[in-house]
Amino acid sequence: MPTIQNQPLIPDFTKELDIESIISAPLVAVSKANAVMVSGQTQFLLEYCFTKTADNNYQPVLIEMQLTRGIADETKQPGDPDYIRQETMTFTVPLLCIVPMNSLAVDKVTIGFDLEVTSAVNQPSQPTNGSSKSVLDNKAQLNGKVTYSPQPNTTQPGNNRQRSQLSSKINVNLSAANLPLPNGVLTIIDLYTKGIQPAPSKNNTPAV
Amino acid sequence: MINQEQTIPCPTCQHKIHFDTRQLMMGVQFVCSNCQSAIGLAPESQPLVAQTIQKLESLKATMSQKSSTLN
Repeated sequence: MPTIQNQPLIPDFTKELDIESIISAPLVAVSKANAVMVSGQTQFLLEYCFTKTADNNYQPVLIEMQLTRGIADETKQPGDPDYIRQETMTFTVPLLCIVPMNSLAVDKVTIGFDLEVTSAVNQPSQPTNGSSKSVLDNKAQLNGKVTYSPQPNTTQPGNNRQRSQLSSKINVNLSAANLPLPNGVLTIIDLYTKGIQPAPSKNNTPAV
Repeated sequence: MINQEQTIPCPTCQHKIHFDTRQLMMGVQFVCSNCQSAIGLAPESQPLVAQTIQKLESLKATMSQKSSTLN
């Protein structure tokens, strides 16, 4: 099996590409990364938080937790030293409920780059309903390349004016926030979490 | 990063108890603000939880490595 080694990413900024591809490429990469994480997360859930039974059903792995609370002894007076005693009971909780699963996602992505439009091509769009030709029948396809432009110098306002005159340059800012867990997983966690009841699992511990 | 918003319903009064898994593994008990019941991880379950969290951290590292190679 070939091993994957981390190699520095050296994109070819001189290559002209469709602007749609240039802008969407980072988001597609983030989406792919999220897909990889969700896939791994599902595998992790099934492997470590559930056990597969003989009839191909999944049962949650249960862990034991302890509940400690004060119990008033009704046979004694409120002023007695042993009137309130600490009792500990054990209850079971699905392991799934305490594993911090939703941290497996791309937290936030902010991508900013400058784009230079190098050419514009007039392309016919897909015909719709056999309608007559109109302005919408053609669409513009812009090609461009990622360019580097220095940060605007606030002490020299002339720089900003010069940049604004370069109408072929576009500043692109993309931002993407993380997605919550899928509703199915959230529902499973919610069901298991709500199902926690104070049922003693050991015979020697008193019921609360 | 451990999720800071983890809660578990109190077995006594169903009030939400906020907890942190790492601290739970270290034996810290979390108190219900409504009925003052304290919940903690049973010592017998600590190895299993620690192993699972370790696997999760390992998975996160692997996923991070994989996602960085997607570009």
